Amino acid sequence: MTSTSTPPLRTTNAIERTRSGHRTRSGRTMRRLAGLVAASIAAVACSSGSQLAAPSTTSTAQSTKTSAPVVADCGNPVASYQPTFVLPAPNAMPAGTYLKTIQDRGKLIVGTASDVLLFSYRNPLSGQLEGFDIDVAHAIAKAIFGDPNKIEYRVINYAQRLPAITSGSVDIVADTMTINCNRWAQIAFSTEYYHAGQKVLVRSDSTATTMDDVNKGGGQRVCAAKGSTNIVNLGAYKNVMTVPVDDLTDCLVLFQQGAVDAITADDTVLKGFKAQDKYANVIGPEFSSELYGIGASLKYPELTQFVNLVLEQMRTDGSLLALNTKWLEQTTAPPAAVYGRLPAG
Amino acid sequence: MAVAAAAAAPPATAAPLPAGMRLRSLFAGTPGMLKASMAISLAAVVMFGVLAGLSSSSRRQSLISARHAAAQAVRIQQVHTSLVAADALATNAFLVGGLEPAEQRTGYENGISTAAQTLTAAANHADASDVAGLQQANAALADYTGLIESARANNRQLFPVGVAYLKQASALLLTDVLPVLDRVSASSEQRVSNAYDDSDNARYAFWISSVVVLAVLLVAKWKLSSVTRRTFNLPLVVATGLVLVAIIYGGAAMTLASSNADSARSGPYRLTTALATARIDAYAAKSAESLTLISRGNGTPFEAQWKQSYGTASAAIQSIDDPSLSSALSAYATVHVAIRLLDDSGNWDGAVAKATKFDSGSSNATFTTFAEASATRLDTAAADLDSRLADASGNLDVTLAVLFAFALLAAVAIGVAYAGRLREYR
Repeated sequence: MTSTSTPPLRTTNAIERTRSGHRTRSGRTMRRLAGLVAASIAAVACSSGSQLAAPSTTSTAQSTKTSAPVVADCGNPVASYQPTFVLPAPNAMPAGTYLKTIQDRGKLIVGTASDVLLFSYRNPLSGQLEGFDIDVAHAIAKAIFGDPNKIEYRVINYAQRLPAITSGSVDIVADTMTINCNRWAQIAFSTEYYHAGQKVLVRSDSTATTMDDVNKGGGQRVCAAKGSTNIVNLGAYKNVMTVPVDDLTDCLVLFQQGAVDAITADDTVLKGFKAQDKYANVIGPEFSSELYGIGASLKYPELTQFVNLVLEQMRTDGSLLALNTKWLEQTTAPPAAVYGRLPAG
Repeated sequence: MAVAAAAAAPPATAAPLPAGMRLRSLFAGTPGMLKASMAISLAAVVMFGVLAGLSSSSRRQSLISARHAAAQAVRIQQVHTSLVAADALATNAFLVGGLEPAEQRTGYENGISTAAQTLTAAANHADASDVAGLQQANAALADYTGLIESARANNRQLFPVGVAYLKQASALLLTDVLPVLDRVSASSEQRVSNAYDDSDNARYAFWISSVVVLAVLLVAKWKLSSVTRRTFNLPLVVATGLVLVAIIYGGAAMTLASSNADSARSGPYRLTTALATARIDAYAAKSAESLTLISRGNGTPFEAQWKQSYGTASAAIQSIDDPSLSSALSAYATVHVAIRLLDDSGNWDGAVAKATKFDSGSSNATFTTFAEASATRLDTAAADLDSRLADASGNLDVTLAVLFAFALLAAVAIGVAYAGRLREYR
């Protein structure tokens, strides 16, 4: 913390300076936060060179350019694999497919979060995972086994979602995951099952009404989860200071401790935060569309096709709309399926 | 200075030897030589009294320091244990979901209040170099309890942010509190060790001064008998006897104190350290067990932590050769293995039930058996340690007074011996 030779350390010093003179309590929080920031920036630095400078320096145009990753071209990102078979009966998965492997195993292994209220969170009362994403996973398990509870959960954070799929440690990821071309390069997505948008959450006494206002405020500390599309999108706002965290809900802790001024995430997530903190407001129009899909391995397109069939059924029988109502009190129709992508090879 | 005088003494008496013939012809008319001999003998006895006294007093001081440092080490270990125990309970209670069991809450509160009180006591007894660290630990402890209360408050409203507060609290304990305690604990243990070394070194002054005073008195006696042509000079014999008794008594007392102290170190002190290590690591393992389950399916790092902590705890228990504690600890490990088996086979609910229930054969029940038995044994060992070190240093009080008294009496006897002979030359 004593060195000021590198940009990441200047960031953390800046944070500490703004808080100097406060009680030791916040000083300690700051140190923890500074540690978080330094660690994560170091992590970013390992993976992508000059990107680390983006949140800290008062941003030359160049640093933000490099911070936006090269967008892979995959055509229409929400286009998924057209199913090439009809939905098989439960416990009758076609031989030789990965579906059969799952059936034989007796459990569907689902990677998800445990702290995203409304989508995938651990209900403190029951200790069980609940939410929109969990219900979708139940529907898929039900279609495979005839029993919605034949699921083994692996609780992961945002940054672990892609690795969990590519390493084969989970069958599917149902975890507020945005479909985009960069991710299509590594994993397959189902058709879109929910349309979310990125927003920002501020203190209830804040005068900001849009993300632009937060940006204009200058030096505002904005929290976002590592490995999320949100943190990438935040790179476009050059006057804010990005505070990355491993687990999304750490943002709410830091916000309540006064260690960050705002949180940016999908409106779905922020709605969950707002429900836990009445002194917070979610402001402005969405500044980025986040289209949710179920992630699965590129190696087994039949699994993604199967999930698409299940989602199709849920659109038809109204259960997808019912989930919107149940968890988000929304009555907007779920997004329609888009197909047209061909499995590689 | 006294040592220099003592070292100078033998040459002073030996110096006349080369000129033996000349001295022999001169001695009858040299009361001055008697005076010099008396002065050297008196100086040797006084030097003995002072050095032997200082040496016993220094051993006493060292043993008192050892006792205080050992008590401080025990205190710090207790703070550490109370905190990991409280954290293990808080973490386990979260895993249950819903309302935490009342006894777990009480256990947590007791752990925190013991830790806070003991930390205050430790700060009062701390070495200057440890005070800042302990104050920092105390401040961090206040933060820790604040975070745990936020976690509970959120949990009671069914807000998942509660778990995030819990994790932050546990992380704070790991980063800001426990390392400080480890440092203070290590420095207390170092001080115990230094105090033992000092106590050990105290014997040199005693034995050196003993040898010197005896040598001086024997030479003086030989000199005097050759001057007076009498074999024995009673008062000088008495003085030598007094010094001899003082040496035997002082030597015995010092050796006894040192062997008491050594047996305290190899007995109860080693026992308290081993038991404290075992308890701290066992509680850390218990916390890790809860965290593997809270991290549902993603708990591999915590299982590695469990293995490490359990290994340390188990080795510490093996080292004190207590079969009943050893089997109590392995009974808990058996349940843990069963929990991992359930979780790894996908039966998370079964694993959680086994990890959070209190009925016999559960993780909590088997762990409590070990925790209570080891606590009882630790309390006994700590009390034993303290009383043995108190005894060892207490006995040396008397030794100091006795050594001074004997040296004084010996000085008086020497005075009498020479005064009588000198009178004959008036």
